[in-house]
Amino acid sequence: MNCFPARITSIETDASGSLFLLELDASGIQLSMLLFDLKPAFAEGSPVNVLFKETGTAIATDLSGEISISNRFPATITAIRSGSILADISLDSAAGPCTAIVTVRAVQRLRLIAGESVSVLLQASQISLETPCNITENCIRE
Amino acid sequence: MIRITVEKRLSGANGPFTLSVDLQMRPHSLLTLYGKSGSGKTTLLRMLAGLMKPDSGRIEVNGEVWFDSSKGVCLPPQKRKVGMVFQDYALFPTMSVQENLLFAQEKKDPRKVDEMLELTGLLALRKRYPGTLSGGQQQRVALARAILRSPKLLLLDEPLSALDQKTRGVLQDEILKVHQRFSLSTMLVSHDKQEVFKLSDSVAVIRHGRITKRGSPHDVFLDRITSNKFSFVSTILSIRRVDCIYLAVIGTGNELVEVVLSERDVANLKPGDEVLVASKAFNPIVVKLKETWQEPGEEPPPV
Repeated sequence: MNCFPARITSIETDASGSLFLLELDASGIQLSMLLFDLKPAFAEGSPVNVLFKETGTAIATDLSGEISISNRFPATITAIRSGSILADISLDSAAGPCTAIVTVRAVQRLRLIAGESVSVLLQASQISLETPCNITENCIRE
Repeated sequence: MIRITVEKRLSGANGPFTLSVDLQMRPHSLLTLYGKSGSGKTTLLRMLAGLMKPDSGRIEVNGEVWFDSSKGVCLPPQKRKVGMVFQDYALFPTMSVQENLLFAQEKKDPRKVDEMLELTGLLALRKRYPGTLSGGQQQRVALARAILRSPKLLLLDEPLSALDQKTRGVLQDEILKVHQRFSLSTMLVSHDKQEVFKLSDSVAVIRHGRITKRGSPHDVFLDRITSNKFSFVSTILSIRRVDCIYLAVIGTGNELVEVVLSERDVANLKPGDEVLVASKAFNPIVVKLKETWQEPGEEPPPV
């Protein structure tokens, strides 16, 4: 699981008040996410941990044109560990390290190599939140 | 309401300490005392049962005072209407199942015993002696015996810790069933988190004789709030490497799920770890089940 420490910057809700669109700031990276039933711990200004799964994290190079995916931030590949079908791509971003798991075919098609700059794409519906807490080992601050 | 305020000096493994508990419990709820051995959980149960006298304090159960050091009140165990179940069953070995249950009744009522035998699935075993029963069956007898006394407070002191995982799951269901069926007020001592989540309305964590945390299992054990819609507490049973990812088998009761983990997850997780498995409301897909009788040319069964 990937984890970025962040702060909630704004909260927008639908007419029924049960669906929320949150804007977050993770060390300068702006992220937006969707959420149902906002708990009181999550308010504007609250510090949070942003959680997202490696398998839901996409990578793009030379991306042009528009895309419906809400979140896009720059990162640098620090390592690639390939299996026969899947590859584990270690990345470094302004918000901290994260990992994307993509197919080996995608690594070849995008010609990914360590040291390269890429865009990380992340859907708003794939982000979870937790309150930051001392004992959590999820966010390993390097 | 059940109100407990007691103090007692105890001699622990690391020197003397004071058990000092101030605890309220809603009637008909199930409260779990969670803590390491030697923290005072069993002592507290024994004081409630009247098997041990607090140095000072007050115990009031639904308006009835069982103990009050300031007024010199201390009801003996037989006047307290408490049912107790221990880890080691504590059945009379020379009495049959039926005789064990009859013995527990203040007013002998064989019909009520038969009802209880039926309810707990022990009817076929009623003539057997405890030594010929499995651990799970013996604990079922102990539970039936405790409930036959129509207790105002049912005290369960790690009742399932000597049993295997499967039997434990079955008996957890049974405890929950009788707790609800007889509207009991139940206090359970346990250090199995899955059990705590499955059974308890609330949890009190005891450390060195003091309650350090109190709340719902979720509040007490997951000290961070997550935004996820679907979550359950479970145990990692195995982790295996598949290509360059990892697949973990995670079990909750009888259900098993497989979850993809990354190398970074695995650095921090091992089989046996208790975990929260969570997913956003957006992720799961929902597929309607085929109704089994809807085969072509087949009639629906009579309702």
